[in-house]
Amino acid sequence: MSMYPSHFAEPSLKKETNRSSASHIPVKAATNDLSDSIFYGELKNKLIKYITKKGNKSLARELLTETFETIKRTQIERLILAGTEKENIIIDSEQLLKNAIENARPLLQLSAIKRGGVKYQVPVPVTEKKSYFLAMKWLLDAAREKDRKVHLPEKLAWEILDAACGQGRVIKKKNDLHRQCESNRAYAHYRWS
Amino acid sequence: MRIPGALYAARGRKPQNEKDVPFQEILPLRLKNTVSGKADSGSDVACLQEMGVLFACLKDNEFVEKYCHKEISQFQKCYKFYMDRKFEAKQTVNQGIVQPGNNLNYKQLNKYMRRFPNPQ
Amino acid sequence: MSLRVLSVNLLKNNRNFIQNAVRNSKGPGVQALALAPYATQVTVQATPAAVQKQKVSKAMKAYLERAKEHDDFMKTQDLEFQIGKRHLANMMGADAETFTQEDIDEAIAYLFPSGLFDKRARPAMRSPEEVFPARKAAEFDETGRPFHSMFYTGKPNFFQLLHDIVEETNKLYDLEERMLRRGNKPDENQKLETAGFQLLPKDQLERVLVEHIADIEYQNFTNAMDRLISLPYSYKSKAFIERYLKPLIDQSKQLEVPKPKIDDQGRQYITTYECLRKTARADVTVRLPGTGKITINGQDISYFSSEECKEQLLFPLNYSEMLGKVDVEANVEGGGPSGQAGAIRWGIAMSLRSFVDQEMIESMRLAGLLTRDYRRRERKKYGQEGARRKYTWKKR
Repeated sequence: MSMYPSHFAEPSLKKETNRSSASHIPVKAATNDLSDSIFYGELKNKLIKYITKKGNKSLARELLTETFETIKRTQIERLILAGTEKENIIIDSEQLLKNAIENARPLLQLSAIKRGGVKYQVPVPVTEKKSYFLAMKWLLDAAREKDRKVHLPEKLAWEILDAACGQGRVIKKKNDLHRQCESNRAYAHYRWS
Repeated sequence: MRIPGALYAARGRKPQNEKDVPFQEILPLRLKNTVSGKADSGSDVACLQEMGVLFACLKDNEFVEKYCHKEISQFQKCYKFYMDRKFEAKQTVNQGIVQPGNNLNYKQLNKYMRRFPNPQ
Repeated sequence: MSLRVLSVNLLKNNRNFIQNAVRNSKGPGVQALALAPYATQVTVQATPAAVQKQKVSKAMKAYLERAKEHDDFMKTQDLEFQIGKRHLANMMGADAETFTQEDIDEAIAYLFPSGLFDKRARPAMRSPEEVFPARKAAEFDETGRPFHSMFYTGKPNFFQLLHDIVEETNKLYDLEERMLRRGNKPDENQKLETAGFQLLPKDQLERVLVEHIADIEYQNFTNAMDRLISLPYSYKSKAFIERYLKPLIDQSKQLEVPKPKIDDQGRQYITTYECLRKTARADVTVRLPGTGKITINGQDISYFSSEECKEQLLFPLNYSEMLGKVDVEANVEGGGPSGQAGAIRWGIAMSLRSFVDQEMIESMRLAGLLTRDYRRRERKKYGQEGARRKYTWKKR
């Protein structure tokens, strides 16, 4: 549900767009999380929204910033300790987050479908949007499952680093899901809308 | 071929004479000009073959995705294509546009039949 | 066109019309004419069988009654309007003969001051022709024979329009084929430019046609028009197409950019009042040669504690590459930090328009900086926990 009429366009930050066609289209107002600073990232904004609890967005933002700081510190430490293979270590924490989420994205999902009184777990393809959501949710779930003494940013940083290398709990969860889908592939044709 | 009555008699029952039960046309012997949309849910099964190929590849490589890039991209492309087509079809049906072809929705069928009804 | 004129006359002379119809109903030959769709050549003698029974049809009678009623109604309304106008003129001490609609509006606004927000809700006095929508005049002559060949479709004007569109399309098809045979190609320079135009919206088309049309019929109209416009030789029937096109408002030129004023230190400045966002309200002043100093209610940018709000403030400055070149002063009240930041952001963006070039203004518009964000908090609904969330369902 949007307050704007359907012909309003989304705001875009690109400075060289084809103006002749766009000059007649009204544009929605930029939201308060949109910015053209170098720290702006769409994926980051999305993750902040998922971290947020009870509308405390500024806290979520602080937590993510701290996470990035932790990631960067660890990576620099690794860089210093690493002897020869210095090129393989990425320091950019945003790039690492991107890699982690890309690695954690599932391809398939199990959905329960009732046929003749029996519930079958049927593998179903996941849309792109949903796969991003699931990846971020798993990362956060893994990060929130921790000791009370450990802070969220610390744990989240570790999960992101693990997932970016293609290991850790989140990747395992995704692979488990894929394995389950594979074992239930006989039911794949049960799918219907 | 007519079976002689004696055969039925052997079984103990005579066939009914058609003249004793004259045909009555209770409803006109004509098809209706509408179809109901009950069985029109349509199937959502798509990309089964791609899924099978993907599973085979994943199983061979112990679920490491980087060895199955081709299969994954093909599967995702197929699903995206399917979803786009589905969305488009829904759009056209919702607008009440009738397209030529044999895969028609019940709304489109009803529209056709209203235009070309059964002769009275 | 002559038919239209005749029909208007008919409406005016309704009383004669009825009498005529009644008189004619006694005379022979009416029904015969009404039966033949293209009755120009059909004579009464040719169909003597139909001569015997003639009646004014029920629909015809009903129409005549309705038309008469409407006519009388309009007459009384017009009379009342004239009297009212005279009274108003007397009250205002003006001459009743030269009292125009503008004078009426002025008088009403003076005599019945209204604080209602919506202008359409305020008291008004207009001539009945404006207030009551136009009605179709009689579409058939006194013998009951319709003027329009598509009268029995119920929407003759609309279907005539569709017919015309198809005719134009066919003409263009023929033209294309002839040109193809001659080996000519359509002129690229003359190509019909429809980027800044839009087909008439449904309500406007209805007003043009004086007919109500269904959504699906409007869809048919747009489809037919789109097909016509997409043809390579569509510029040949430009005059026809343009009748049903409406120019879109150019969003980039909609708001006039104010000229900056000069303050006592010789600096250019622009003040934007009433910058609103949520419940916050701000006045923003931007001064041109500056050092990037930001003052909000006497404090600097640390007036906002959260990073997000600070980013908000800097967004338009950074985007238009004016960061560090202008000074910003803002007075803001009401609302929370996010709303206040949003209000100031809009104010800065609006003020900056005077100091940047047209291209940058358009960029800022496309970035959504110049649109006022009029979203408000959605109210809580009864029987629900909040605006959208429902109470947990409990069976008992």
